[in-house]
Amino acid sequence: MVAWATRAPLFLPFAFVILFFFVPVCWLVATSMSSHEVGSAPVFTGTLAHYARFWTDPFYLETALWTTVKLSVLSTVLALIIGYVLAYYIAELPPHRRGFLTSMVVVSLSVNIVIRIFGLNVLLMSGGLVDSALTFIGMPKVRIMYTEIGVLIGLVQIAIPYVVLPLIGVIAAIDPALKEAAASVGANKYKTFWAVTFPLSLPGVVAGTLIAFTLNAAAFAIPSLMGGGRVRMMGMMAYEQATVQGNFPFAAAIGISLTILSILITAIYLFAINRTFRTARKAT
Amino acid sequence: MSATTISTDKVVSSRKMRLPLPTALGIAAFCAFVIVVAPLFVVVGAALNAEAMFFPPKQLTLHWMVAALTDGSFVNGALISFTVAAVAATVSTIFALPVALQLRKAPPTVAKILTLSFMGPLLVPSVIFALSLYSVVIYAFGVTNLFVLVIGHVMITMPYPVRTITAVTENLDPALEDAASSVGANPWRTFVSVTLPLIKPGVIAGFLFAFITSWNDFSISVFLTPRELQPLPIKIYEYLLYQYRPLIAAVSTWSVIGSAIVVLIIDRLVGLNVFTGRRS
Repeated sequence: MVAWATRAPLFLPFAFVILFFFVPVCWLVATSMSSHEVGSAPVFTGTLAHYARFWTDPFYLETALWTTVKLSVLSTVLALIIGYVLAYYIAELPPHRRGFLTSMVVVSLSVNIVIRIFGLNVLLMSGGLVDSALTFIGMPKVRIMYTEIGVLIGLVQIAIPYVVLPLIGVIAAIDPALKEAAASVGANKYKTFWAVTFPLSLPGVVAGTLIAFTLNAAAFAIPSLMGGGRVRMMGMMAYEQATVQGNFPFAAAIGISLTILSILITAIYLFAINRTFRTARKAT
Repeated sequence: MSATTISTDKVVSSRKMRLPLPTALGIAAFCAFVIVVAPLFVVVGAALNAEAMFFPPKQLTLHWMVAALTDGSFVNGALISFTVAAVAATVSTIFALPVALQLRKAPPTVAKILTLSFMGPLLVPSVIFALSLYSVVIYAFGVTNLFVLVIGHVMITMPYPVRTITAVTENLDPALEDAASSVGANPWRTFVSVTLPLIKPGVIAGFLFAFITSWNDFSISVFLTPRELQPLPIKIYEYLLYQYRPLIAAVSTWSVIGSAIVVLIIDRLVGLNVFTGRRS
């Protein structure tokens, strides 16, 4: 009786998640295997034609799939490097002086993505601050906006706070005695970092990069506002197919492909991390 | 400039050092920090421009900041965003409560099912979840409405309160609840007068997290927003697709100020540790 009374409140959230998450996602899978005719609702036929269209047409493979994989992986790696430096610096500060930097990172994270992209655009547009600075130091004029580089910069900038925040906690929690121990046996700063700090901060690295990668693989606002229609990523393509073309089955096929791809890359990444560090532990 | 600010800090902290040079790490960290905050400063700077958009601004004025507050369309968008965020965050926090509390007591298999069903949505990119909800709604009703938008927002915000509440329940002593029920309190009474006060920080943090996620959401809203009731991010997005004017920078600046205030409240209430995942 008591057990029932405490579990009853679970019913509502459960029903909610099943009804509004699992049912729609299954629906999307079914839609991706339905026939498409302009002007009429999709009819489920079990066809794999939409997947075949996406996965065999060089146009989709090169413009959408390859761009998506390349930009999302590259931006995650860059965000990790930049974010790690900042997180390390903040974590090494005495606790009472971390506040300002941490809160600015949190504010940046909590400002709308559209607004941050807008700020980046003003900075990167031709005649903007970055453009003028590059001209001033004598660099040849380069176009950043509406190119892959521009989209990459956008993806990195948006992803950095997600990498920094979990890392601050993890790096700050590392026992300083471990570093002192490494130093006492003659390890220099770099050796200590790679042998002690970095391996111990891996949970934070994994947490941050997973969020960054999942977000960037499905990026939508950044390519559409910074790519100027020239840089096409899969999330954006699925949106256009559904809302502009009205081709729901093809949009669904792109969406499901993107989901599977992102889960697959995540799995490979986790597997590689696990293996590398298990062998490293065996070796020592 | 980086060098000077960082090195003066060091002088304050350790007065023994004379004329300390900034370390390579300090410089690199400063550059990283600039990359993180640059867009925000640019937006604020651009809002103070008199004529066209530039950063740094050439002639300062507060004209656009005032104009943004009287622009009916943007004020409306902000009100819709606020309402949706408040409703979605409340619902998702209420839903997260029993889930997080059960996670603590449940046998391992049940706990696994619970985690999978409530954290599972994080595995599917939010654009794809939005697409699936959108295609169901379009198939069933032909149009989308505000109710569907709120459902979408509840779904994407729910993992945050589940996580923050689970984090505080881990430190909860079950003996306290047992004590309450042993003196005859029913489960509801125990929950309200014993459990809830103890997990309050997690509940508040989860609510604010959910609120901020909803307020900032773009990918769910772009699919599920009804034409006539657009939340602020979508309004800004559509405006940016066609034109760049200081007005939009001013609207954005107000939104940045709002975000900063919410972060400040979170800091005062529960500390910024909720973001860095450290328990004080």
